[in-house]
Amino acid sequence: MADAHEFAKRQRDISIAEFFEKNRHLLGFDNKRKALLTTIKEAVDNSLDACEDARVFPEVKVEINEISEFRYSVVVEDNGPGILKTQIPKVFAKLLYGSKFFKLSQSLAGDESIIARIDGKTRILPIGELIDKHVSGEGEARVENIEVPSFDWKNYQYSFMKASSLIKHKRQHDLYKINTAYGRSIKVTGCHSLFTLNKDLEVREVEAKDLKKGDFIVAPKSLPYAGSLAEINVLDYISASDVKGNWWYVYNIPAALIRSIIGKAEVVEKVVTKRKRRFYRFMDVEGQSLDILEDSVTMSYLKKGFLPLQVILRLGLNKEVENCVVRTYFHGKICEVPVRWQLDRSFMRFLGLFVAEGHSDSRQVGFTFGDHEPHLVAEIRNFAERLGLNTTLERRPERKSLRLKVFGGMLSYLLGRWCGRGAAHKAVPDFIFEAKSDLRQHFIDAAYQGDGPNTKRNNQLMHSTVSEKLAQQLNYLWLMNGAVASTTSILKKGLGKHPSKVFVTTVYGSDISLSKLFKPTAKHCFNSYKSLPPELFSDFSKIKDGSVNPRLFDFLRAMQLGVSEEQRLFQLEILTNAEFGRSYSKEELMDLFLEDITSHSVHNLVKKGYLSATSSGYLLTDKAQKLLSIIDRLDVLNQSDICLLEVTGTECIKEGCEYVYDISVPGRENFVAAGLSCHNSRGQQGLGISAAILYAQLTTGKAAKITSRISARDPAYYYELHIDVKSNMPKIIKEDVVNWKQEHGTRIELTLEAEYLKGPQSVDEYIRQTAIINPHVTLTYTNPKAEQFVYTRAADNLPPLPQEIKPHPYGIELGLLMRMLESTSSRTLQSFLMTEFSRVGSGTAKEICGNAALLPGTKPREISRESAEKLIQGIKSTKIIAPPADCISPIGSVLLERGLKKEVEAEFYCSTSRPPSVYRGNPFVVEASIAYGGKIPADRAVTIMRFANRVPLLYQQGACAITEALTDISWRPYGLQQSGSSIPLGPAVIVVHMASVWVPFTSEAKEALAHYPEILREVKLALQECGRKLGIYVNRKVRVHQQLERANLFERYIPEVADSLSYITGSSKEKIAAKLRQMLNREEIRSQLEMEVPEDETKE
Amino acid sequence: MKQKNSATAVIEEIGKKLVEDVEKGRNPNLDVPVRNLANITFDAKTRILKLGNKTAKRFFFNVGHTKKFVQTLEVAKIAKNLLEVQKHASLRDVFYMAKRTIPNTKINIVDEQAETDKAIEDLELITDSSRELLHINANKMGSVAGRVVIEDQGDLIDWSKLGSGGWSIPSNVENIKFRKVTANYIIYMEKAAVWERLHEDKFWDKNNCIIMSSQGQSTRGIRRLLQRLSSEHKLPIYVLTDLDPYGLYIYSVIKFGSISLAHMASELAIPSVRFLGITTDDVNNYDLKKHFIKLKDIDLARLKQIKEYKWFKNSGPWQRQFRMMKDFNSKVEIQALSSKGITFISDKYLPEKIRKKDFLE
Repeated sequence: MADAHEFAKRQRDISIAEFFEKNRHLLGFDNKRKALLTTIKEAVDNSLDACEDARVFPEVKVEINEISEFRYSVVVEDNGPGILKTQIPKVFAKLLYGSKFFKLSQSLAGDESIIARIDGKTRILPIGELIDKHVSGEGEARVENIEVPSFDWKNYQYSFMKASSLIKHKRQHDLYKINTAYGRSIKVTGCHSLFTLNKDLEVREVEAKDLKKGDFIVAPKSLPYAGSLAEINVLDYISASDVKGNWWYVYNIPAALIRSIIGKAEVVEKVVTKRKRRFYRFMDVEGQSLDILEDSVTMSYLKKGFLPLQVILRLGLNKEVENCVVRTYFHGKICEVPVRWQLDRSFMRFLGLFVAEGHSDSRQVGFTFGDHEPHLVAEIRNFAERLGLNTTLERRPERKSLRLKVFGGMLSYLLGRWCGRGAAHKAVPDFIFEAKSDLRQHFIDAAYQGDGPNTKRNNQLMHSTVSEKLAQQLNYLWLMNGAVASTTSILKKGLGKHPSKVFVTTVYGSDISLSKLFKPTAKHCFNSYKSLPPELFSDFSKIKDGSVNPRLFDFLRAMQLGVSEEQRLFQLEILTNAEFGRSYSKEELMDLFLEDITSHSVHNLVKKGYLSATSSGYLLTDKAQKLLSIIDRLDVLNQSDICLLEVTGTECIKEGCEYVYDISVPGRENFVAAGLSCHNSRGQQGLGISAAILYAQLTTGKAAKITSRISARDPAYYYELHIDVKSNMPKIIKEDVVNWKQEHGTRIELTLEAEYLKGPQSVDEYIRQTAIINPHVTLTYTNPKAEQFVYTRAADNLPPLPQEIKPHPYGIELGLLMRMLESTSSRTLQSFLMTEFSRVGSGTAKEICGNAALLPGTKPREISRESAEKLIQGIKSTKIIAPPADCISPIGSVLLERGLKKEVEAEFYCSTSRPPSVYRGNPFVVEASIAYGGKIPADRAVTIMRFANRVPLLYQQGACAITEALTDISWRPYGLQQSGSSIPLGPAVIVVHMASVWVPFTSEAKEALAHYPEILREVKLALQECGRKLGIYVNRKVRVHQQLERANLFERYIPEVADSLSYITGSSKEKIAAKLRQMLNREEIRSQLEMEVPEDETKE
Repeated sequence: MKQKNSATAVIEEIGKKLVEDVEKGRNPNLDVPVRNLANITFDAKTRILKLGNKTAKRFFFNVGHTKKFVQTLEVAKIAKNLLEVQKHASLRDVFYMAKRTIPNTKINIVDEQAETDKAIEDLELITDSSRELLHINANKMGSVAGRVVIEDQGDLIDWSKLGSGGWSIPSNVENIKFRKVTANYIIYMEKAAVWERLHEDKFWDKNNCIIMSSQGQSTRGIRRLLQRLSSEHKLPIYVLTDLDPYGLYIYSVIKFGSISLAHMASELAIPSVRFLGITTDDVNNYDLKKHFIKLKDIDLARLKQIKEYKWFKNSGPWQRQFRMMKDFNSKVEIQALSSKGITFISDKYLPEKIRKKDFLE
């Protein structure tokens, strides 16, 4: 099998463009005829993908013109999303290997903190920490379980969106560190885009290297997250290994539950202390065996209704015992806390106070308050006593402090788990992020309250901690509740010898009023973040008031529109109702406003430049129009979650940061890192089209002409491009802005050496088949003979976007499995199975291990070839649910049939769509459709149309798995002629489509499907299913035909019957025959000839 | 003579009924008893199969029926002719007598012998007379040897003095008279080759028994001969077949009757026969596993079918055999015993099995 990548690797010294030049046949440019087809195919494929990605019904125009012999120009135009100006040269004139899309590498340094929901849990962590878990070395990992906040481009509101992939690669360029107001900073690669708000109040990308001090970049001012968690199960926060040595038990367990737990165990006998004893043996969640002495169960557990906590945890029974209590002993005294804890105000405040003032060791929890804070002491005491815990209070008058200690239970342990141990590692318990926003606020308030009053100043609410993590988390907690906090670090001389770094998280001004406890105290409270870009105001006035909020009146005031609110409203009304370009008399202008309006207002508008007074009357100025459009945008911004932070400085970093990271959020292409909004890598179109451009360039020397436009607001850019074959870099020949009627889309024009011919492998046929398989597309095609074909859309829905997923265990091959085992970051076989494959949960993983006779705890790297073979056997003998089908986009039998009906005139159609199946761990779906009869010629082999992921395959029919499966079927029962295992004959068109996350082609030219047994089998089943439907139709047709033939049958048999009967009975042969002939004319006998005839004799 | 007349009369009667149909303007039709598993009952008391009373109508004016209708009449005509001229014809003869093309058409009355064979079976059912009574005979198949003297068409034949070939069993054994029967039991085997082995070893002489074989499924003549020896001389019969679904089916047919000839079961079935081997236990006892031949899909399907037969379904020992056979997923031929020595079957296997009464009912 030819693999371009492999070839190229071997020839590292040449560029891929050079490689192409030498191996063009591998890419489908073997000859002039094929080159034309491949060029069109690549361009059309790109267009369709781009449109579908952007959820636009594709309208594609294809035009081929003959310039001279063997020289053609090809134009392909689409209504896709268009390509960013700066990307156009790279997209079209640089060859890339492998997958259809490539990512532009825009990335962040690994230590930038991000907020993400991982498996439904909110975490704040460095981006590197997250991605390193998924990607070892360089590369990209597809993920399904991660959501990151990302704003919607329509309303700039944030919500958590699924990230599709995590990307990590070696740093190749300088990093830029951007510092902003509110103490934020981010380190990104130079080409990485951040966002800014332009003067039209639209968010636009801005590259990091272009930023300078005084610029503004977009940051979230709120990351709204409702939260719904109402209670937690404390057992979820206890690790089984920590229970050892502690006298911790779960009590109040119903005996029935204990019995049912014990019922699942296996009874074993062991000699312990020289006596043979019976044990119940369990498999714990880690796959280790756990033995429980039978005597303990019967003598103790069942009678008293309890189990050791360790047993509960190791068997994963947290949920089952949620109505029970956890019992510990403190100096012999029983101390019980419930398993389920409500997240209520008192609990939130307790945690908040602990985060601020508490510390815990293995036995006790301590709080230190000032002696003026007895109410906080009382609050904690109350809470502790409600849990049944003991407290002691120590007064330390010399330090003016109160020291409260809480003993017993597992509280000190739990607080360690939740909030970290030691001041430097303090953290917000993860469940706080999942709580409702008012509960989160109680937590924040308590944390600020506990931190003491000295940091509360006018217009500022500050919290200091030595834990950087806590400071960041508080910052995000504020953000989730709608406040922008700054986190800065200062060096503070404390009690120790060295000054310690203290992190201060501050909220300002009106944001303080979000608190349920604190009120902004300053008279004029303001936030130092901006809501509008300051340069916006420069057009209107000299005022650069950073405090302006995007409230209408404030804005109008800033615009110096009138002196009172009423006036402003009047004047705005005039501007709103006036038509641009039309001149008004003063009276007419005043009529635009229903109520009385003073001529002063008009005068004012003229003075401020919103109206111009000409000889024919008053006209709206450009300034007025701009103002109106901004006012429209203001509404959007008012509802949005974004704000602007000023860049306070930038620096270029050349050292460090070996790897850089990125997250891809499909559809939105942005996420939040370091408290700032970042643009993520954007999917782009790849190899195929650039190869066509290169081919054109090599054969005719003509440049590729590209026009692309991304929206009606943007101009259309026109480029003429060459590819520099040595460096594989684009060479811009010409660059221009042009008029183009398309609002968005891309047009590509190439001149190439080619040959246009008709026939089964022609461009005409390719276009026709593309229209059949893509009923959602409108295709207009003009061939060199100036024949135009219009294929109109027949589907009302776009196909769902395919998503990549992890491989399914069925169909995984030994080699691939070995490679996966080597490269996984999982530490146990069980977790390897769970993380690397789809549809494998812990239960299935254990079952696989069991069936393979391997321990779930085995290290993946230690699995030998033999064990891997066993593992494959284990997978085969385990029942695993089929792979999810939503990751692939089949067409569906209805649409497939509709597409075929549209373009093939026949008398009978049928189709079938198989359920998803798996080869080599990749899910795939096979669909088939057959058209029969009508105008399809009957005297030749059937037409086979092969498709892979909606792309017609025109070449190498004989080498394709679809053809093999098709000829392997006996078509005679289905009403087609066939000799041996050849392609059947008859008036039929047979369509087979394979959709998969990864279609296995026999070569890089992508012309034939590889022969995997699973694929052959599915194709066969799909065709047989269709064949049966066809058979029913054809056989019925044949039978009707036969019945007509048989009309004469009775007539022919009559003499025979008469002869036999005459011989047997001696009656007259002629008489019998005559009588029978008479009956032949009878209605019921005639009519039964036309009926469908039962083959069996009539039973009585 | 009387028999012949009655068969002729029945055919004539049926013909008259059809002529009457024609004259009255009715669609001429024949009542044909249904021959399939659904219309078969197993009489637990007599332990033989019985044909139920379901019948099907076969019409002339029905495109689905007409060909069979014509074939049946054709065969009836031939049978009447044979009876009149007092000659016997073989099944093959009948096929050639019926096979012709209707003038000026491309239609053949029959294309294959299977069609006339079926028509003859139908005629047997319609006339309630066996085909021997209709003067139609099957081909001769099968040999017998043993200490028996019979009289056939006036000739005295001693089954112990017929050289290496034995006496070949005719298809009609009704008129044979047993003159002297000294043998103690009969071994019937599926394989002619095994019969030749036993005959060469003079097994019947040493053990004072009769050995009988066919090639494959037993013919009616053999089954009738076995039944007569069983009922007239009370000889126990042991059946020796390969251990495979087909062998078991042969046994089933001899013992209970066959489905397609259920109407004649009372003349052909021999409920007292026993299955001698090869049993699945023999496989273990005689260490035959190394001669396993893998079962084909069709064998497995047949096994599944036989297992469900009413007459086997409630038999524990038989179900056990079926289960084990399925577990083996293999069959064993009788000749596998030859691996123990060419005369192992006659010197050891058969005597031992019979002595130990190691057989299945």
